[in-house]
Amino acid sequence: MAGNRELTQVGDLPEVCLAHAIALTSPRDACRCAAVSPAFRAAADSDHVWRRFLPPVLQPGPKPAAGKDAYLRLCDAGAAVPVDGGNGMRVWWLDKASGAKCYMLSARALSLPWDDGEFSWRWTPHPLSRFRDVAELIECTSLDIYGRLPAAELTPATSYAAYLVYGVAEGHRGMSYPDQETTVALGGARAATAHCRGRRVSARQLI
Amino acid sequence: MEVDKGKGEAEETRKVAEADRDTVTLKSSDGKLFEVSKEAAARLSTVLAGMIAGGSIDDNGTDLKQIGSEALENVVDYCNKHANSIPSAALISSSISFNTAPFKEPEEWERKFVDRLSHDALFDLVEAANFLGMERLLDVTCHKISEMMKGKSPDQIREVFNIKNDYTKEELEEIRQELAWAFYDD
Repeated sequence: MAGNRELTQVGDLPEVCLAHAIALTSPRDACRCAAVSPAFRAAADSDHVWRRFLPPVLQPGPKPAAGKDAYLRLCDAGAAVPVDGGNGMRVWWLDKASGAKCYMLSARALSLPWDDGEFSWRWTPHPLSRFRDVAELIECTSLDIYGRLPAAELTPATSYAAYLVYGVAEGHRGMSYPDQETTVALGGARAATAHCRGRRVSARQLI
Repeated sequence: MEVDKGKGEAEETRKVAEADRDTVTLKSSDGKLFEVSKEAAARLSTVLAGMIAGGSIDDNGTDLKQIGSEALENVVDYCNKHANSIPSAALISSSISFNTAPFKEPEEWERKFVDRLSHDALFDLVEAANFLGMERLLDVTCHKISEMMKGKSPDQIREVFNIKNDYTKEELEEIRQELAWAFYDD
């Protein structure tokens, strides 16, 4: 900059400055930056950028060890990591594009209605489930399922979707009427309600 | 603390060294002099803080050979505005660390401060902030650059910053494949 009046280009900035700017975007933006130019790529692939995209609890202390590879490993939902102290009933991973934390609760972490006795549900392994077992509904008069998650563990300023993942057995009955109702509540305040007739139940909620 | 008029015309108002001055005089690469509050300079710049503490401040103008007058004027302007608008404390750090602490969004006046800059002036200011160890100013200027990149395609980013695409077709294709997930729209 000094002296010469040639115009400064953003790519001429010290790599750490450009990396600092890229770190304030998002993982998706950072990847797009890598395709801009070699100088952008060097900055966009640097550990400085990807360390920022890791959730705070994982950000390493004085000795940074995590870069883009570490980030991408945490985005593999198939290899989601159990939450500490959750007895393996809750796993988390990162949404690749935004770096936001995603959670999945095992059926064991949900509260299921047992009003109809100890034979209402059966615990059974399922080939498509990442958890040790899933709950198979045998019989009930009223189906009401709750799941809870500490909101403080979610990523701030992020739009979340909640999904109930379930399969329907051959020859099932009684699921078509009345409509299913889904509610998402935050801190006791009801935030969103949806009525669905289909097989997928989802509710959106802005945190 | 008496914040001087600062803002570039400092050289005219500059007084000969008094025993206990509360401003420091900085000299740009092209020889222009700027006066800035000593307190704000020490608080916002680790490099200036070190120079002030180490007694290497020159009353006739401390040479900052790496910084042009336009960028230095913006640095001084920022320091003086900062001294006027933030009730000290906060935002102080002992060393520039490009840290991983949560980023603090720019204040309204900081946004306005960087919004009025041309691209060149903004990049020069980033370099000056980096050189002087001004973490907050670096955050604010880099935040502005990040906003110019967010949600854009590589082509759009090149257009915004007037960057020549010096990747070969093959290289670009390789990157696109490696990062395919980032190129799909929501």
